[in-house]
Amino acid sequence: MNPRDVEMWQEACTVADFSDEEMRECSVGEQQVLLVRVGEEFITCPALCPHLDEPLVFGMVDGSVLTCTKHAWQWDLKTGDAIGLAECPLPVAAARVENGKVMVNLAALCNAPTKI
Amino acid sequence: MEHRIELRMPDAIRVFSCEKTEKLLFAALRAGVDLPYGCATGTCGGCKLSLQQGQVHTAWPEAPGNRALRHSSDVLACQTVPNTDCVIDVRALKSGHSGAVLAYFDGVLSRVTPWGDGLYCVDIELDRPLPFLPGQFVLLGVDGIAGYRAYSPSTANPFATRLQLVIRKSVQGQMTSLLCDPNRVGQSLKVLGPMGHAHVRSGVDGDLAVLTGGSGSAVALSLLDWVNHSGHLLHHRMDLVCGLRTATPSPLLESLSRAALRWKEKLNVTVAVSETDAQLPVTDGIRIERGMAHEVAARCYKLDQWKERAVFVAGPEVMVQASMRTLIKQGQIFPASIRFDNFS
Repeated sequence: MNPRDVEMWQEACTVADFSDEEMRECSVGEQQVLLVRVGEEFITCPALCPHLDEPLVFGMVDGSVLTCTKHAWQWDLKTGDAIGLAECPLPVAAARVENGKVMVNLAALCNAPTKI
Repeated sequence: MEHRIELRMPDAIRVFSCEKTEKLLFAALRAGVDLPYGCATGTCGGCKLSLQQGQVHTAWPEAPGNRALRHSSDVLACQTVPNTDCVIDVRALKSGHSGAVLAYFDGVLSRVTPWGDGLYCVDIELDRPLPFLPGQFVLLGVDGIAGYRAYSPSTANPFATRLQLVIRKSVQGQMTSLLCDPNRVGQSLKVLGPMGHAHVRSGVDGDLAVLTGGSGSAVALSLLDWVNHSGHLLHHRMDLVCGLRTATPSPLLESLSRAALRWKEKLNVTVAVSETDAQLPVTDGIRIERGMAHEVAARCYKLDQWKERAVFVAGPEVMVQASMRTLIKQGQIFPASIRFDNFS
């Protein structure tokens, strides 16, 4: 088994941390990730835009579409697929909620395509 | 002495010459090679390239745009000067090149006029016309001040040898302090242009929407100059929101008023005044509203009607970002139809 296939679920934050926010940047171990609330679900992705490292938390989310407003790159958070101007996909993975804690699996993000 | 630069692009190889002290980006654009770039001044990181062979040095080792560099071979084209012949890989990026070829011009600071609101109208006499499209910018350099700075012209005459810029004077900024100082009239300048992707596309663009803030009002004035000369508003409409700190009577307000009165129902102009205690004077033809430009746009215009328009955004970074959010989220405007040049 590839070590990257091993699930590594770690706490990123709590559901209560979100309050009215749509997204939060969190530290998980030594990695920064972005957590986005899409309806009742939480989705995690890298904290920085794969284009020029702009923090994605400065962008916006509308439905399941995440936009880095720096250069208007967009992705569908449900698939990670690039939309419109974006030139590469965004690694995404579903997070899960356990006892009010939002848990993320960093291995799922590691398996995704690298930055351009 | 020149160096031979071989650019390996995804679909082609381009070869051009770079002068001994010239930056890669400028040499490429001067040769008509469409490299991706944003600010062209080392701040944004949008001109990242990968050096495969050859030796170079950087003109600004601390350039903020270096944050975009991820590999030891990565360089910023706008700050990199070749020491030898080079082979360079280019990422694929849709840059929306205007087709105009960059050139160097000699300029002289010829007039400085305070416009109020911290803005100055700065005239530069060029040694020959600098053809540009409304919305594009130029770079200015001065002996004794490292690097170039980007400014937008406020006119649209491609045959004029007088370049008119709108500049906000920054106390900390060496260049703006010089350019906005009437005592420096006669100062020699190095001018590069045209640059930028957020320009009009004549024959393609229909209705327009324009959001500007501060010195970004130069773009609004350039577009108005263009519609005045081209007659674009005979067949199309334009909404314009111009964000200013105050609405103190100024040549800028007079220009907006004159254009609004000329084009009446075809041109809808609103000035958004950000200072909360500023007066809101009655000005012929234009609406004066309190708030930031993006707030006023959302409050006073039907943003969903901008979906089919070419939408221009120009101004300070914070204003551009706030406007992008408003346009995309509240207006549901497709990002690709929003034209802005990124300077940070």
